[in-house]
Formats: sequence, structure tokens, C-alpha cells
Amino acid sequence: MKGIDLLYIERVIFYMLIILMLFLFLSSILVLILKRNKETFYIFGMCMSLAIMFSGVLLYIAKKGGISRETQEFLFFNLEIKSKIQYFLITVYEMGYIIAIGRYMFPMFLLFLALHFSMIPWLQRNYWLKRFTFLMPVLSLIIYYPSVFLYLTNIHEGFQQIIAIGTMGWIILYTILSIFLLVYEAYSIEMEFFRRKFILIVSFILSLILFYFLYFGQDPAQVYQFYASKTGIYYMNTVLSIRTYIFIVFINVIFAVIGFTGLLKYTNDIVQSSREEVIIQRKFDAISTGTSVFVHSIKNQLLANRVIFKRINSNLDDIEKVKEYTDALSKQNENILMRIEELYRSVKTSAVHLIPLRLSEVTESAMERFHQKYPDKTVHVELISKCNVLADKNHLSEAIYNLLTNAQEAINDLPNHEGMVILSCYNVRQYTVIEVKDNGIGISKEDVKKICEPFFTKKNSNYNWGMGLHYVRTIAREHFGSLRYESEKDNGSTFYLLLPKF
Amino acid sequence: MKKLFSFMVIALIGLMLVGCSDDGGTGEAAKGEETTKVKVAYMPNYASLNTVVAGIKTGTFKDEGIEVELVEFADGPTIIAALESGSIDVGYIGPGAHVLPIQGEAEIFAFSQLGNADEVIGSAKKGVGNIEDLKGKTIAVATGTSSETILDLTLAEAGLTKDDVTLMNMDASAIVTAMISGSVDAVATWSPNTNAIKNEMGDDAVMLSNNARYADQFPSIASWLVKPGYAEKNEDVLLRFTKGLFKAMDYRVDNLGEVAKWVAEEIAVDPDSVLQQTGDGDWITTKQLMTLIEDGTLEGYYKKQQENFVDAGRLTKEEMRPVEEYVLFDVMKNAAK
Repeated sequence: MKGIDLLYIERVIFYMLIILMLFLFLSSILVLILKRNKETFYIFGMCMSLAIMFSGVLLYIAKKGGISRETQEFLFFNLEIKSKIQYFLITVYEMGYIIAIGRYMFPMFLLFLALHFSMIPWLQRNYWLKRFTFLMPVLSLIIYYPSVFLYLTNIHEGFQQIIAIGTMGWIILYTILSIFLLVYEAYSIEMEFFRRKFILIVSFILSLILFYFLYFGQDPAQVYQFYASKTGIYYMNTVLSIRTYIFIVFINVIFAVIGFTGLLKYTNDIVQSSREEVIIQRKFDAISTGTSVFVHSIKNQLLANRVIFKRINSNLDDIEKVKEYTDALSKQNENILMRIEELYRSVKTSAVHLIPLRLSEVTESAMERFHQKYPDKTVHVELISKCNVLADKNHLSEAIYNLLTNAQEAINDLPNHEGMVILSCYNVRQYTVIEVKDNGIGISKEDVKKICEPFFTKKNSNYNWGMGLHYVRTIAREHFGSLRYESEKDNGSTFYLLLPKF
Repeated sequence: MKKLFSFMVIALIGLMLVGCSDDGGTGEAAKGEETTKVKVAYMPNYASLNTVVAGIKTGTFKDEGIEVELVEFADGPTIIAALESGSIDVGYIGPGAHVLPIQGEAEIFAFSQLGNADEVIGSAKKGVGNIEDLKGKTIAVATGTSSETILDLTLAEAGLTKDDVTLMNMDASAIVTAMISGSVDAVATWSPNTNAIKNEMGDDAVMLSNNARYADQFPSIASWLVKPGYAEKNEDVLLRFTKGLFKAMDYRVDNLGEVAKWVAEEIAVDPDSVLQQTGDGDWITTKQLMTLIEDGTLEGYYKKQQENFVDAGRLTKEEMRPVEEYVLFDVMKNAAK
């Protein structure tokens, strides 16, 4: 007989199989709860279908036998469990239909998921395609309904072969189509952080498909004709060596872990960013910081004014001097007003009016503001033609202007005019992206997390209050979008303003 | 994430290496090349296993240079499907699956025995005490097997047809559970399932009919078979296997109890339950088998079987064919020499 080691490994693998199924189950439920959206629902559907199909197939194998003791022990852990399953009370029609349900639902959820992820415009426009996805699974489930199936095959025995080939055909077609759509999508995503996440999810889906393909060829009709099948017994032709089983389970565990981590991380991202929101809000609410900075700055300026007033008083005779001081005062006054206005804007962003706009109008306005501040600096602009966004022109251009000035300030200290600021706009997946990129000083790792917090600034000047990025972020959210950024110390920064595609 | 990836890749390579070295291990085990390995399909009951287990234990196969590897199946049709797929070499079938070799799906190279394993059992609690009570009742049956055959015969005797009852098509194991749990009123099945039901239900289980009751109308034949063409290509192996089988057959006749214990050991069940099955067949010796062949009795059994299948609607008249086309009498005769 076998060595103890091999037996031990088999048990471990069996546990892995059970744990994998449980893991798929629980994780998909968990992710579904955490992230109630379509893609998690589809993945949940795929996992459920797999579990249903496998229960049916394992039931069938337990009752039918014909596989080696070794494989039996692998699939059922031990012969006692196998015989328990073997004696499970169920008619052959119920058993076959269980397999049918899992077998036909899996490709359906798979294609739904692929269509959902796909950003091919033609597919998005033709909504009927999504409805069409229902057609084959529903049709198959009707045809394979035991009484319907028996009726059909009674009329003509040849129907069975046709039905078997037909269903196998659409399953393969759905699967190939889905794999193509997913891979194509992964290939065409331009933004790195999107692509990375997407590839994780795709590899997980591919591992589910591998799992499905283990027994996808098990035609329910063979189960209906438990003792009279003339079409052979599928699983018997595909009995794999224990090592292959182990390999497949292993691959699956790895990808399931990676995939779900990807999904969860993705979910976590959202959970975390909303938590971030709460933290930021709290910080913002903690008036102490904000007010003290504000009051301190205003006080500084007023103190400066007091000095000027004193000087005016002692120089009342010299009109020239007085003029100089009042000019300074007026400038200070404008400055204070501007600060107050800026603070007011970033606190009170509820007044955002979204209307359809040419994106170019917004960027032009932002450039105008930018050139008022830096008349002699240039920005490389790359725009896609004819792109509309739903936006508040004033706020959005102010936000872009903020990003542009930040970028300009990051390159100001670079020698020999090496610095470069690029403003580009393009469409990716469901977003219109406004990207501001510079090759400036970058942001250190510790600071990257804090840059959106209000009153956070590294620029030690009287003119910067650290409200810029918080404002941009708030504006992005008001536009139902988000602000993302990638930055590395000394290697420049890239800010992405993601707006929903209009 | 990169670290995790590289860890996994290393783990994967490690696993593959373990796999490879393991390969070397199993290669060593298959050193003895003088013996030919024959994969034998059986069903987990005494009738199916007694000869082959006796042969393994007493070394009659080994003497012929045959190493037997046993593969368990639940039913005959599956065994024939497995023969076709090439995953096994030799198989044992009960009466119900014989329609398939007649239709050309397999060739019979040895007769095993006339069985008495099939029964129709009624539940007294549910008011089924004799065959007439079956009318309007729910009966669990394994369609396409001898379970269906015995039910057909029983219903016919009571003057009933399948339209007079409700049939639930189940696998043989589920039938046991269905009967014990009271989900059905009667069942048609075979040993050892019949014993399991009786042991569990006691007096509530009433045997309504069995093969012996219809022995003259319906010989309940069990046979050994191979896939079409196998006998020609593997003449020598098949002859040696049959020789080993026949010697084991003779040993068995005198040692029914001992063989029952061996069978119980092989299928990991209680020896008592296997001992209950020693009456499931009419066990014969090689000598008796030769007599059956020579006087044409055996051919008569198989002919009668074809007629039964035609009567039951499972075989068309056009599909009937001469017995010697699918029963290889020569193999039996040569092996008995």
C-alpha cells in the first residue's frame, strides 16, 4: 500500500479542497456584503454555481464508483464519507438537474461579469446583448428539465446527442468570449493602478474557470440515464492522477487567495477612503487646528498692517511715503480678502452646479488663472478632442489650477529649466481623467498620505495655507469623481482627477 | 505583493519537484515485469467478487502471471462504459446489463453464475404485503438494471403495468435509503441492498418476489466481459486470466464462508453481511460449466435472456443475434483444458 506520507498529503489536499470551497463561498459572501455591486454579485454567482455543480458531480461519482480507491479517498476524504454520500436519498433526475443548474449558471455569470467589465463601446451601447446572455442558460435549463428532457428524447433518440453537443457548444463559446473580453480589457487599460488591480481579479476568474473545466463536460443526461447511458460516463474519461488534482487545487488556492485579496483590497480601498474621509472631516471639524492657523495668519497680516499704520502716522508729511504705505496696505487687504475667500470656498463647496461642458473650456479657464500667477511659465497640454464633462466650470478650473500651481511649485527649484508640467486629458474605462504631471521634487512616502489633509503644507510661505489639495479633493467628490495620485521623492508627481464619463 | 508572488512561485516549483521525485519512487515499485496487470471492474457484493478475490488470495492469478487490480463500480452499465473508455480491462455484470453485449457493446468471455440476487420488497407498514398490493403504489427502481427486470416480471404476474404504479428512478444506494426512510412503498433491487433493507426494517420488509420465482422464465445470468476486439488482441492474457478465474471458481465452491470473509475484507464491510449473500447465486465448478456448455444449456440461457429483453421492450427483434457472436465459448473451453 501507499506510504504514510502520501496518505498524509492526500488528507491535507482534501482539506484544501474543502477549505477552498468554503473559502470561495464565505469570501464571495463577505465581499458581496462589503461591496454591494454588480461585479461581486457575479463572482458570488460563479462561486455558487461551481459549488452546486461540484456537489452534484461528487454525489454522482460517489453513487457510481469506477474510480480508484486512491481517487475516491482524495475526493471524499475516506470511504465512510463516500458511502454516506452514496446512500444519500435523491432521484437520478434531481441529481442530474443539480448538475445542470450549476453547469449552465456558471458560464452565464462569467459572461455577465466579462460584459460588465468590458468597456468596448459597441458592447456598452448594445444593451440587448446582456439580455441575450440569459437566453442559452435559460433555454438549456428548460430543455434539461427532467420531464421536458424525457419527452424530447422520447420523440427522437437522436435529440439527446444534438442537445449534448449544442449545450457543450454554447458553454465553450461563452467561456472563450468571456476570457477574450477579460484579457482584452486588461490589455487595454492604460492606467497602471487600474490594470494591476484588474489583472489580479482576472487571474482569480481564470482559476475559477479552470476549476469549472474539471467536470464541466459532465452532461446531466448521463446522470438521468444512470444505468443506461450509452454516451459513456464523462468523469471516467477524465480521471486525473492524484498529482494533477493536487496541482489544480494548489493553483486554485493560490489564485483564489490572490484574487480575493485583490477584490477585498479593492473593497478595502473604498472602505478606507471613506474612513479617510471621516478622519479628514474630523480634523477639519477640530477647529482648533484650522482656526489657529487661520487666526495666526490673519493676525500676522494685521500686525504687519499695524506697523504700516504706525509708519503712516509718523510720516504724514511725506505724501510720497504715505502713498507707498497705503499701496502696501491695499495689497495686504486684497491678500487677506483672497485668503478668506479661498478658505470660504473650500469650506463651502455645496454650491456646485454641474452642467455639461466642453472639457477644453474648463482647462482653458484653468490655464488662464495659471498664467495670471505665472505669466512666464509654460504647461504642455494634451487634450482629446470633443470631450464633454458634467462640471461646475468655476470650481473645476480652480481645482485644476490648484494642481497646476502645485506642479509648477514642485519644479520651480529645478536647475536649467528642466522642469516640465504636463496637463493631459483622456478617457479610461468609465472615467474621464484629467492628469497633471510634473517631474519635480516629488513627495516623500510619509507625506503622501497626508497631502489631502486640510492645513497640511510643506511650502513654508505666507501665501500657502495647505487648503489646495483638500479643496481639489472636495471638488472631485462634488463632481462624483475622485482624486488619485502617485508620487515619489525626487521623481515627480502625477495627480489624476477622475470624473465620471459623460 | 511581489514578495507574495515570488514565494508562491517558489512553493509551486517546490511542489513540482516533490512531484517529480515521487514519480521516481513509484517507478521502482513496478519492477516485476513478468506479471501482466489486469484491471478488473467489480461491484461490491459477494456474487461479483467471490471468484476474483478467491483467486487473488489463493494465488491462482499469480500462477498464471496475472496481477489483478480491482476497481469498484456500482453497476454493470457503468462497467461497460468503463471498458469502452479503456480505463479497465475486464468486468463483471449482472443480468440487467446483458442487453449491452447483445447490442455489440461488449463480449462475454466467461459465464459466472445464475443469480438469485434480485428481489422486489414491499413495506408492510405501507400496506404492501403481496404483489397485488403494488397497484397505485410508489416504487423505487434502478431503471436499466435487473432491478427493472424483476419489477417488470412481478408487475406482469400481478396483471399490472408500469402505468399502474408510480416509479421513482434512483441509483441502487438511494433505493435503500428511500425504503428505510419510508419515502417509497416498495423497491426493486439486488443483494446486498436487499439484505440491508431487511436488516434495517425487520418484519416490515416483505419479499414479494425474487429471481428463483421466475427461474424458468428468466435466467438471471451474470457474466465476465471485455470490450469488443480485446479478446483477439490479448488472446494470451485473457486465457491466462480465465484459467486463474476458473481455478478460483472451484476453490470457492468448497469454501464459501472463507471467501465471504475475504470479500468482506476487500470491500471493508461487516463479514456477516457478506455471509448473508452466499445464497445469492447458484455457484458451479469448472466441470459443471463445461457440461452446461456441451449440452447447450448455457447457450439456451443466453437465448432465453434475449427473448426476455425483447418482451420487456429493452431490445428490438432486429437486434437479436446468435449467442456465439458475443459469448466467447472458445475462451472458456480453452481455459478449462
